[in-house]
Amino acid sequence: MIPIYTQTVGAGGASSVVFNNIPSIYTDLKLLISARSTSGYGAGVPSLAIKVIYNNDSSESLYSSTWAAYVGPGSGRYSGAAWAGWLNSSNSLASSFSSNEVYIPNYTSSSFKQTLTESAVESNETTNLYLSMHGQLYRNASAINSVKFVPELGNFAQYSTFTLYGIKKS
Amino acid sequence: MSMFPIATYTLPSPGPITFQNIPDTFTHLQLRVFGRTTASQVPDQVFIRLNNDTTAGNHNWHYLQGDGATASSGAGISNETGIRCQAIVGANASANVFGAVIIDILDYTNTNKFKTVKSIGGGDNNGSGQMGLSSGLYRSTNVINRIDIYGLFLQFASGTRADLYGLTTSTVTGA
Repeated sequence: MIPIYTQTVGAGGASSVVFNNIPSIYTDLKLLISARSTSGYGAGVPSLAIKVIYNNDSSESLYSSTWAAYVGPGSGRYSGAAWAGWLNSSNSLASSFSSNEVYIPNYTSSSFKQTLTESAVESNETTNLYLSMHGQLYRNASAINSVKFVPELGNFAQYSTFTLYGIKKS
Repeated sequence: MSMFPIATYTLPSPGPITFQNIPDTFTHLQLRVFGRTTASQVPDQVFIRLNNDTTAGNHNWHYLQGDGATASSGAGISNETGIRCQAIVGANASANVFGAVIIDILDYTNTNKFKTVKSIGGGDNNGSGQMGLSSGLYRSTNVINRIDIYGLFLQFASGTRADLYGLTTSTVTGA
């Protein structure tokens, strides 16, 4: 597993984080993310959704996902939207950042892209908290050369970190 | 390469496992536990404590799990002295059956962040078992330099192994 890129959000926050020019020499990709948003839906809602967009393709009709989460416990689907995970909102406990892992196997293949995300959003609450697993389908056969993350509300807060790793099968 | 072995320990007799003097030269930590406990039940759980901090209320945890019949979730958000991670098998599991848990702690040296712990794991026992995903929060911005690992109900059995890895990141942004 080789670290390709790392971005750390500075004092001004960031409306999105993008990794461009992803080299095509690996088999799979993996991202580790520790993130928080500058905004939220109010007290008692410590989580926000996060969009994962490939190749700057904002045609969200090509995205769908299935998830299972702590709240409920529950399960659901998104269709026609690029939601794939959750992060800490500004209403979560201060200094708390989500722990997300996004796994993108066979990212250069000519098949549709199936990705897996685990999201750990922690706060001192038992409601609206989205410890979760996501499977996201991007119905495009092109190789992935960029990945973009966008929070549901606000910006990524200072100290949010994103690292992209490449994994070779041999 | 970005994932480096820091230390490994295999128990010669029942007990906990401790990693001390963890170097602060990495960005993330990954802990892998392969084992079983001495508790008289099939599922037990891995319980960790960071920096030997037993302060009640310094920890939260949440879990989402299934046992083959029922999906359930739960939480500990007050007076917790450590973090429950995911399930591992206990003494009532069949012989030679061990559970596996992978625990991630991102940005463990970042003094601007509380430490979020994510774990996935469990064990199948050919007709019983438990699997799940858990999160935990250590409400301290201190650098993590010690991890103590316990079975939640009783001790780890001999033969239980824990491996600690450090992960590095890139200096290139790719923006």
